[in-house]
Amino acid sequence: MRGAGWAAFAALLVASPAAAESRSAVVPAGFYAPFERVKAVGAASPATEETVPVPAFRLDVTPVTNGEFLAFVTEHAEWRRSTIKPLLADAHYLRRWTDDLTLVDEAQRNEPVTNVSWFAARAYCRAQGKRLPTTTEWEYALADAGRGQDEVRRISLEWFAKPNAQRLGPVGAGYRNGYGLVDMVGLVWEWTLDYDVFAMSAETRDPNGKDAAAFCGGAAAGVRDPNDYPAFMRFSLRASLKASDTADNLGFRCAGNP
Amino acid sequence: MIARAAALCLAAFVAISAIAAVRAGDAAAPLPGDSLYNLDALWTNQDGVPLKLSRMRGKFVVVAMGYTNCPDLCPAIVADMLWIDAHLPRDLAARVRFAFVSIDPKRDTPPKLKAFAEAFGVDQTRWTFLTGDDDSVRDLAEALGFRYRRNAQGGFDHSAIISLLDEDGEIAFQQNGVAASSQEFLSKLETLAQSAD
Repeated sequence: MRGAGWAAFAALLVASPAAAESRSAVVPAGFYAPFERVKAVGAASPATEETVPVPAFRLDVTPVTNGEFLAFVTEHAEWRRSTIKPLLADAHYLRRWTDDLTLVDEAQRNEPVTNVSWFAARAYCRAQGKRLPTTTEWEYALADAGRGQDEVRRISLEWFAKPNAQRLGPVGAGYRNGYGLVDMVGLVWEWTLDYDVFAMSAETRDPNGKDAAAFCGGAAAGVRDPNDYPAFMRFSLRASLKASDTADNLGFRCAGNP
Repeated sequence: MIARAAALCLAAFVAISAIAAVRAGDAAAPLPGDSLYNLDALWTNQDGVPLKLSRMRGKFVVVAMGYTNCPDLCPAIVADMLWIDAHLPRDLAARVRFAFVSIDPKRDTPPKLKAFAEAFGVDQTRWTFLTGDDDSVRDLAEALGFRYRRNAQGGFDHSAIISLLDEDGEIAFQQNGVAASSQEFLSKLETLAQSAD
């Protein structure tokens, strides 16, 4: 009886909106200094101390797990491995799973879902009444109002130095930042809504001009901190992707309104 | 004997129908998995008529994205599309549709798109100017490999890509950047049409 009571209480906890809310944290409004310094058409050099306002938003505390994504594809059959359209995901989609609706083992349930395309990540967030964070939001959340940036850099560099592991380990075990967000670095790369904007060519901004940013070395002159190697890695990785791409260490988390 | 002949005729009819049903661009056939027409978004054209991209199935489609307030790049993109249209062989022109999809749905209302279409003097029975919600625009842009973002000038930084869709909505060719002449695009279109015949 006591056991049954506890089970009912646990079920209530899982079902309650308050418990669902605790999956995300509020990131307060503020200003973000973009990593990329865009040179306006006709300007001699990129803007120097430009910041952009970021309204408050919610961001999932941890990356989306296999268990959560499994619940999504169970309900939305069109996003299963065997049914997804090639337009929306490449051939490696959810390849770490045993099949459409079977994980390798129970431990995988709490590991971050990977091998999901941008389209699939976006569909998952939509189904939760959420959305993917913009790149600005994600980077602003990582910047954490300047807190713990040495730690973020240290974790990032250690992560880059390690070969890809067969298993990723559970979400929630990594560094927790000042907003309460966990595993922003060190576990998986993460999709953002506008992941590809950094890759826009100089010609896109100035199609008829001879833009110095198009040449080797120009890129380093157009970023906030040329020594921020982890940031280069994040933006370069995102820029290399197509929306249907999947990768063994690429996951996502969702955002929403505060 | 008559019954046998009728049965043969019926079998032939069924066989011909079956062949016709799997012809590329046939609305009754399943879409290929990488067809853009798998994106099920609802758009609105320059006349305020709601439609899905799949309505163009069965035609070769020249599609580009941009916005009407765009100062330089979009007029050049449309100019390339106009060049293609002007150089189409007469028998091919009826099988080709042109679509310009706005990335600025808040400002590019159907009347604005209509004025844009009229300014270029295009044949609006074959040219469609579309606006939709932000999500639909983002999805289509990603499927086409078209990159865009708002800039500080109130416009957009964006790619210049003109895509050729086959009769089933699969990308057959893409021209990256604007060109003095889109001869390569035109050649691809002619080749595609010949292979479809």
